[in-house]
Amino acid sequence: MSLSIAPLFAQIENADALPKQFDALGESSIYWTPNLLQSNNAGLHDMARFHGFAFNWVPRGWINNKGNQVNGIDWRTNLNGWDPNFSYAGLYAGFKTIDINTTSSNASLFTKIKSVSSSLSNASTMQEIRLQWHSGLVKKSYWINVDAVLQKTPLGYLANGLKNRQGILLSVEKSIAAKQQIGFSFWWSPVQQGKRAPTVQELYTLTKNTMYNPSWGWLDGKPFYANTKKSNAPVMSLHYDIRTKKENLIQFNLGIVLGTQSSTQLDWAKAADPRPDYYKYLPSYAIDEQLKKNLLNWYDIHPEFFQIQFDQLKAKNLAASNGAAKYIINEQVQQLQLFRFSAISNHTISPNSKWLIGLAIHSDQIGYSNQVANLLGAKFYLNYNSWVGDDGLSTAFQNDLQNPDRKIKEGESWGANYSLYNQKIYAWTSLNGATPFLEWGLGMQMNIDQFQRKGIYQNGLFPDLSKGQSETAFFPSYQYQTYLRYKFNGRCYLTARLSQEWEAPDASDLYMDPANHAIQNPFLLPLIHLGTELKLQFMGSNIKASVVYFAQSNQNERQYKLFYHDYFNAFVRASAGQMQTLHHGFETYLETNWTSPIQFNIGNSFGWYTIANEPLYEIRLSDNVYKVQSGKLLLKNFPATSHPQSVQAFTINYQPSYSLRISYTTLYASRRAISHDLFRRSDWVKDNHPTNDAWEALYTPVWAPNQWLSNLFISKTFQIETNNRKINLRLTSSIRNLFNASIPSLIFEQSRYDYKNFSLQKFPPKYIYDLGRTYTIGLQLSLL
Amino acid sequence: MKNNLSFLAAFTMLLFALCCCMACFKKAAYASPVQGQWSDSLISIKQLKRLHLTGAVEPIQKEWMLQAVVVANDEYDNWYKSLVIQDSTGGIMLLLDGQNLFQDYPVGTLIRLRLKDLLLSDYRRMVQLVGAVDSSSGSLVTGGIPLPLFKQHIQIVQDNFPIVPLQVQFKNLHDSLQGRLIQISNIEFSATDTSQTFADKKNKSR
Repeated sequence: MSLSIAPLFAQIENADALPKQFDALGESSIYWTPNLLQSNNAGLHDMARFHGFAFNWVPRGWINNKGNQVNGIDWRTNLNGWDPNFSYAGLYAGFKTIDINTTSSNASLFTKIKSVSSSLSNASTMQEIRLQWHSGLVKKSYWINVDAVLQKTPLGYLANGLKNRQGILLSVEKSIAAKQQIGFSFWWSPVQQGKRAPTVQELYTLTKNTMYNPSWGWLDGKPFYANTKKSNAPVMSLHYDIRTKKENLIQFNLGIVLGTQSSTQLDWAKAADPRPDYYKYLPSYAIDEQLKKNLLNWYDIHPEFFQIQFDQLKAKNLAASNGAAKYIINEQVQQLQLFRFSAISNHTISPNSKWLIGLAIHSDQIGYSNQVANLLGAKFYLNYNSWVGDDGLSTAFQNDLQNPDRKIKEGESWGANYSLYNQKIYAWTSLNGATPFLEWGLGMQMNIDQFQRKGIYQNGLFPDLSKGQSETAFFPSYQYQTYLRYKFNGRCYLTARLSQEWEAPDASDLYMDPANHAIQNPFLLPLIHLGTELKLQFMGSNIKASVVYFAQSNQNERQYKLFYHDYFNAFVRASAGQMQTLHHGFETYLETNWTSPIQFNIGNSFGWYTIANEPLYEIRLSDNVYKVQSGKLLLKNFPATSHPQSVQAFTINYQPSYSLRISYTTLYASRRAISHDLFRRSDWVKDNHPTNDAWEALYTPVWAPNQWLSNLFISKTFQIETNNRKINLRLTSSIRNLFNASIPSLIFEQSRYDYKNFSLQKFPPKYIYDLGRTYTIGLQLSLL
Repeated sequence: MKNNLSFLAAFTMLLFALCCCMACFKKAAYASPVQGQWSDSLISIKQLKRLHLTGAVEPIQKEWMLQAVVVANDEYDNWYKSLVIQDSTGGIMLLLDGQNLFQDYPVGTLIRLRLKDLLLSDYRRMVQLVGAVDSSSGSLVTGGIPLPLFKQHIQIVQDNFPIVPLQVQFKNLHDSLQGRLIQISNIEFSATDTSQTFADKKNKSR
């Protein structure tokens, strides 16, 4: 009798018909060892991504991805200032989603099509026009993929003020031999868009507008948005694939990013705070009731003063006796030079086992500087650090000791000028196998990270530490993961997964104040994740369901903040570390075709995300890094995140024919803690708090209101046949937040707290609200 | 082609192995975990002084710590049964009821001082930390920390801590500089004050 072991993938019934939540366990994913807490339940993940962002729903309460893997390259960086998603956000039609972590612009993945589409929306962008061309296989050897987009919004139409994007993506694949393929991909999408600023509830109440944005104002009689972000960073990548005789795949990838990303904001020096929502300007700050009433009346008559008065700031600049600006629009610029290399090999050991190995090398350099984008009428801006305390040396406020008192003109750089370097090399390997009743896998990854800072200018605050190259900081890290799946029969599976990861810090955790020096933050221990997951799946022809229990403990979490400390009357750098958290809970997902044209998806996520110990903290004066306070944070059993810990989601799809689809989704989110300020819950505050009741009020977590949200989507496709070809006309319409629920997307306690009198009302929490009911209407014309 | 691929694969693995070897020899920049926190609620000297009203005595009952460096002691008989300590925010006198303090706490010693059960007082506007006060005689008499309690209150963190004197101009001399090591330039003593000692040698008790 011979034992015949069927090939691994034939055991997955109707693989093409698998619903999205049943992942193919690393077959196509380059990174087989995803972070356990990043839910691999794709259906639930899609619900969170497309419907749950209004209340910040992140399954399992842990965001690990800073970017995405595109074309075999991980574009994430350990340095601040590079947002890969922002570099290609408008070009989504030129990418195909492979799995949760991976997308590709490989032209050979697209079917042949030429299309032009346009959309209107009051949510993300008012007007969009897009051209797409996928050539299909040309002359039996190459494919071309082009996506071009233009997005424009009338100034002030959107809550964030402005959005202008142009973009082009070009991808060419060439088959150079029977089993060899080479590809090139390029995308470039210059964009400028406004940013909304959070503010206190008092302003939303006074303006009667949940879309209120305090960061814009009037300049020369026109609306002017000071807070913007920009990207101008072309990205190129090359890849070479080869399949061996045994159908093993070997792939080499090379990538490069050269360009800039930047952000602008209003800045000021030795002048009155220009922000309309500064706490001292608000009626709530007035102690006298009559004064409060007068202020309220005045705002009723002059609502324009809820916005920044740029014309008045300009007048102040012009009136300055020496011509030096008090107010400017500053642009923080990041000069990007990112290089990537990766090599991946996928070997079939036997029909039932596969071996994957990979190696990647990153070399990143980002230069940070400030530029004066707008002098607001002044002749120049003095190159001083205006936030330095007066107790120090006479030269402490100089940003550049070699060129003191420099006068900066518009477009010139000022302030800190430094570069951060990160070299990273990592390798991974995984082994998968299967028997008739078992599937198993084992994977591990090793990483080596190296960081360095180079200061260009010598500043007066840290003359010995600011200029030159710092010592390199070196961080090894590791992770492993293993899973075992038992197949009861062709429909029922039980999977157990275990993983552990030691995670290295990134640059934002490593350097305390890289603008001024290379001193490292305290509490820099490897972040250790230990997690497990148990999943029961049923895959029937009409019903597919899964139940998952997950648990992950995290050690050595840390947090670093810069804020003005009212007790020390100075800017301080606060650090919290050696924090342990525990995330555990269960998820369920059900997908069923009740009757042929109607499909239900029901997702549920219920968890507990808490801090498990009393972390340590330190407070250091920002000007000299001197430790002035330390102790413990009394945070045991406090919520660990601000993501909702309980979400129930329901989607009904009605598709009576191929050309018509109507989809309705409703979600309910509860147990959503606000983002708490950890540092005010210290043993020092408890010791100095006037009453126990006041401390108890501070110690009790605050929860956001429970919310319902509903979204509607309709699409209708018409096909017109001419003599030579078919033309597809597709109309889509979606309405988000159908019932216009008022949802605070983000609520956070300010870092600034009344450490003298411990009043919670003095610096209340800040909010950003969801956009409310929004619509998008799209029209796409495709030539098939 | 097969050979080229094998070569590439071997080269890639060699490169990785090389990096692993580098990883073994390079010291990781991770911090050491902080363990056994024995009351580490640090307070600065400036903040401590703010708690004091001139002429009053304030007992310290909170579990506070102070981290400061010794800038003056009794080595040259200029300071009697006391140390002067400073941090980057200010300086303060610490009264200790012992002799030859300079042998245990030379200038440049970085210490951690446990403040609980000490008292804040002042002598002629000079703020000081003392171990005890006695007003039974009708006037306020302060006493230093008794010798057996030195180790309970004082922990030596580091020797030979670098001290940089604060450059001060004569016209900027102020009470806020009490207890701080300063350097004043471009001054001279009047002739009548020369050839005198700083301390009153005649009345010194030994």
